[in-house]
Amino acid sequence: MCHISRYISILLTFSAAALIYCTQPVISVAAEVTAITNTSASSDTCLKCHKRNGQMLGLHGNPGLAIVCQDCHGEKGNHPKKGASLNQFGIDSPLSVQQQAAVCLTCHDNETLADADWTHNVHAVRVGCAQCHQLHPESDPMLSLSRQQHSQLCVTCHKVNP
Amino acid sequence: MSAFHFEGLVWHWPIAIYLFLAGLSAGAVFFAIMLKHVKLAGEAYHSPFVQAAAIIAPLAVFGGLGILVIDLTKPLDFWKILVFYNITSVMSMGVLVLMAYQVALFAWIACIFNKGILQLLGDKWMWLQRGLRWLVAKEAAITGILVILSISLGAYTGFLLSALIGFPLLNNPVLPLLFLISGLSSGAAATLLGGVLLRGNPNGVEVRFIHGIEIPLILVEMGLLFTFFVGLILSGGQSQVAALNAIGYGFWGWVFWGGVIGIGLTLPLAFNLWMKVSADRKFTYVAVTASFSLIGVFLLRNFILYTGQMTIA
Amino acid sequence: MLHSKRQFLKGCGALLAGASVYGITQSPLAEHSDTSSEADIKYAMVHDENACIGCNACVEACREVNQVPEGVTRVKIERRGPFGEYPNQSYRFSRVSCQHCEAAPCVRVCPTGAAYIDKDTGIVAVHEERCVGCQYCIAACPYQVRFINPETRTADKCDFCQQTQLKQGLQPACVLACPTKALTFGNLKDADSALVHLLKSKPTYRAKVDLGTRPKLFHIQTIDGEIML
Repeated sequence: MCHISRYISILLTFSAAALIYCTQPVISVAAEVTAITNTSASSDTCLKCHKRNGQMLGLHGNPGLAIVCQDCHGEKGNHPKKGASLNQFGIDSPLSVQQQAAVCLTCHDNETLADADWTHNVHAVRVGCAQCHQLHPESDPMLSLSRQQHSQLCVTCHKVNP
Repeated sequence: MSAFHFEGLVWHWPIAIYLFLAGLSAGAVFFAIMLKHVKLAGEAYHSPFVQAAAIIAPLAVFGGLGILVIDLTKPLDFWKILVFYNITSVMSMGVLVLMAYQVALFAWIACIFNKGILQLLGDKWMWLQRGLRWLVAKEAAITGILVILSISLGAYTGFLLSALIGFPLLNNPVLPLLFLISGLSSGAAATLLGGVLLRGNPNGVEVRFIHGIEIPLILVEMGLLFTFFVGLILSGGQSQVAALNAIGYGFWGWVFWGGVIGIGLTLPLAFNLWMKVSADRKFTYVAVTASFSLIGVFLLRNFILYTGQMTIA
Repeated sequence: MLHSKRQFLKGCGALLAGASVYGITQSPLAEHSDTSSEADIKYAMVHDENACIGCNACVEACREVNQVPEGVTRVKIERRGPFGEYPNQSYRFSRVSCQHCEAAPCVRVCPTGAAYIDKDTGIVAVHEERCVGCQYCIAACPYQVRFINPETRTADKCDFCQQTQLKQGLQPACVLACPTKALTFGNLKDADSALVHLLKSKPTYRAKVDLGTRPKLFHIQTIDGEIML
């Protein structure tokens, strides 16, 4: 049941996003396509080097969304030289959790995220989105968690030693 | 929250039908006994109204028990209720009452119609005839026991629900009394309806007698309903929430004001008062009044059962 | 004649008195029945709502160990919230499961005695074969923790893992599964048990005590967040 509703919500998000792209109405969805400003930029420059791991698959890779690397990772700047200021995500990121989340929250709305899963709220300043979610692969493992996997995911971090 | 499906709902409409039928059976028997003792005496078995009650009472109690058994999750294990008893369980004690009630009911019916039965038997089955004569000799005792059992049965339908401490609307001391009185009036209505359908005289002594009792009965029922809900509201807390939730806006509010109060009590009271002053009663009057009463009591059982489970303590 | 009548009346009176005394002592609601005070074990549980993170590991562990079918559960973690403003929000969690009442309404109403209090442990348990599925216990339980197991068609509920874990000398599955040690299970009669120590060191509350059920599931109330009326 939980799976089905999750799939439905993904589908809805997907189609709503597509709808927004075409018609631009003001509807609150998981991700409002509003913040993408650098339309001139493209991912081609990045993909020259990042051939194997640079592709954007899955929901965020949907051509309708037209998300490019720079939207999340920032402008190339000096990259790959030293002193580059590209955004990195995940547990090893030099960015704070809030800085990382702010990038995602440019499109995503925290209330919609809370509706999808209440745990978003309690981790908002504690855990970066990319510590659980994976955007680059075809599918984000968080979207297909069983109930048992979901609770085990909590246990992995929250386990108290006896 | 929909009217028939909501969280926390345990008992559905089959239980309401069971409560309705058990109360109806008890009421029909009660009025048949009253008819015989106050008005008809030895001629009771001629009366289509007593005959109707003698048919309705066992059918209703069997029907009710049948529904109850089917509603169990393990219907084939129902015999365990008859074998194992728990003195603190209202249901268990109610089953005892029901069993005794059915025995007394058939004994009483046999007494009332003993002449007919003896005629039918002719000179066959002498042991049965001896048994019947023995029963007839004990008729006074049987009648007394049956009156007590029928009142117990009527009240039991209310105690069954009022024992549920988690639901403030049901866990109410007035409920058993309310169900007893409304059960009696449904029995009276069923007896009247059955009687006129069996071609009983709608202007006869039986109808006049039952109608005479019905008017105060309806007034008492209205008083009990008033006490029931005002009592809940004055209790405050979840009791108040439960009461206002039940009789306020919404589907069950309509059932209560339109069905229970309007069709079930006000209209029958008006018809009864009208029939009392008008010269004679016609078939339609009696049948329609009785049907309204029956609908009202049936709706009351459903109303209490469902709204009772809507609000928890 | 007169003599025999008097004797008869006396007999009736004695019978009535006897029956009522019998009724009182037999009652599962009896305040101080001899049997319960004799036993050395009375199991209880504490749920620390401050430690609980609402992960439902207890629910999943219970389902697996006690083979509880999908769609029903013996234990639930009720979540309330969020409290506070994003991104600093919190939730409150409360365990909902059988409270193993000393004066259990389910035991009182069960027509066949299928619902009973185990005298040796104080656990409210179900005789599977005796249950006919009238659902009176489900309606009577003010905590709404009973359900019909769709596989056995019998009233089912938490039994502190009496049939599974306790038999093997283990703690209940939910207690072992809890990552934050929010659950403490033990014997109320054992003054040295972690349970009794916890109960004596922290203020606890029990749900719906005003109904006279005397439950044995204790809760340590959440202290963070706003004060609620």
